Amino acid sequence: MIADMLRVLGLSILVLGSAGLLAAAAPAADGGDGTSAHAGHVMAPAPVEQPASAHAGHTVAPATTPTTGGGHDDHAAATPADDHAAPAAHEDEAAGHDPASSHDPGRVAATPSLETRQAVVAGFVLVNAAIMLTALAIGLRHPRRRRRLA
Amino acid sequence: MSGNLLHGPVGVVMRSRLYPGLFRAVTTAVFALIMFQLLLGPEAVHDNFGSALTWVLWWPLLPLALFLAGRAWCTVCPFGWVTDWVQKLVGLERPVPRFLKRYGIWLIDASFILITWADHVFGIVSSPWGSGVLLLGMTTAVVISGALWQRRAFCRYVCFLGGVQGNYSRVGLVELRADTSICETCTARAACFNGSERAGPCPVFEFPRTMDSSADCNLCANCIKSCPNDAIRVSVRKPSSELWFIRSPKLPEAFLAAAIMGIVLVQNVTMLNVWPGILEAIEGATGTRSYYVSYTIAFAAAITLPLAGLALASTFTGRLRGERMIRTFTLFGYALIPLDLAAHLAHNAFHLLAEGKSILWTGLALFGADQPEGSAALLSTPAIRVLQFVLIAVGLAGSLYAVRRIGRSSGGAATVALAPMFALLVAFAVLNLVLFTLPMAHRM
Repeated sequence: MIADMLRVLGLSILVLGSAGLLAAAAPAADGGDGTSAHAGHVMAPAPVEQPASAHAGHTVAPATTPTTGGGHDDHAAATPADDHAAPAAHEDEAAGHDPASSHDPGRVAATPSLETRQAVVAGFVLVNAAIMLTALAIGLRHPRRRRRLA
Repeated sequence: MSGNLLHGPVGVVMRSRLYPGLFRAVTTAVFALIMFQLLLGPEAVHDNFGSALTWVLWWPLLPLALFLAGRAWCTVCPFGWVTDWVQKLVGLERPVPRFLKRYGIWLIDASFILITWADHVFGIVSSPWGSGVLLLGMTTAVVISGALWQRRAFCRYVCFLGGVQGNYSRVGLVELRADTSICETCTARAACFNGSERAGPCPVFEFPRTMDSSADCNLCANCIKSCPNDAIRVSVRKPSSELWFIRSPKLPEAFLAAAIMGIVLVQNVTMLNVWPGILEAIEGATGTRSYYVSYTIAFAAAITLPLAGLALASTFTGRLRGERMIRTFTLFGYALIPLDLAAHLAHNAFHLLAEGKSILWTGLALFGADQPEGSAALLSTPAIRVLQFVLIAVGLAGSLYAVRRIGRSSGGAATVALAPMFALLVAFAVLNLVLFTLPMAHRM
């Protein structure tokens, strides 16, 4: 019983701590536009697409003879996916298409601001702690169901 | 093929009290670092150590590990550790629902295909954040499973990698089996399955006495430690030999074998220079301007191609052997696995060997080091290509031989009846070879 109480206490601290972290992070969360609400600094907008360049400061050998011109400084120049998405953006050339689809939106998940990411992580901890607390509560109500591993 | 590995150093390690806990502690610590990097580290994939470790190192090495050591990875997987701790803290220890036992493998197939599709649509691999969110989601599923059900129900019935790992492990070099002649006289009340004071129960619900497949065994060594009769052996076997005598072939496993071929094909194609042309062709044919729709059509076509090919070959082979198409499909679908594994290895060999230095560079960046100039490749492109061709050739040979052995062991020895299967495998191998000759984009 004491062990169960300690578990409840530990999980409660976990939940409350996460809630606190979430609460601390939430006001700063930007709602996804990539700019921070913190006074005093402004974060760069979150990139919607992966930048075309790869490792900063080093060159990556092309997989083979590049078909888009030799001597490129990065693999991205020969990256077919990038060819599709980048300036060519052939979708833009067609009239009447959905502008939202013109940037190959599916290739790279947009990264939210650090505060939003922290809030998501805190939310994750909260949800999982809630799941575990629920299981513990059910187990406490029905002790016979809790057959421990040997 | 070989004696009992438990009589050597492997046995010392597996019988040790530190196995698998010590290895799991290391992987869990690395996993924590990966999660931190993915979720809160650099936003750009080429700067993120978590992305490099996950997609340039772990993912390419996983199929190789499955071939060399079966599902030993699963026993040190951090998700297993999470399951164990959730169970110890709050586990309700309920029996696994019958639905999961019956349809879990279909769920695994469906979730693997869905996540592969989502990877490209939502950019999971190419975004540290996307990768991190995927792992968070998996962790939540593991917590739910650990809180509700017995043992490692998630690993056995839910993990989306389970199907792939099971299939590849069948081709693998290592097997754990029980000496049934000793088991017949056992009075230990299935300690290998139920556990003992020396070790826990089998986490994946396998009973060594009747186990005839390496698809699910994690090589956790619980049964080895619990067996009072020393009846368990771990031995090296001929690669893919398990496929030759599948006692109870299952449609979802054959289905997945064919689907993986399609997944590898589409993963290859999307990294090639021909991809924009394919997209334009799809857009021209359908009138859509949405990348999501175009990719989904290409993805569905790639998955359908090997399934339809196997169905067609099964129709002809089935007629010649006098059996139903679905039976032939299920039986010979397993023969695709060696080629699947080879294609998977060949594809990932490119990422590991052409981008390998990025692991070191992103790791050093954690300590403030600047990323150096130069190529991230460990091997030259021609050398990687030779390796890819060799892998495909070996995989094709393994698959062709598997067809022959499956044909012989299932009652129809006529080679002519197997010709459609041979043709199908050669076609897939050639298709892979052609794709590997084209310039491929990097992941990082």
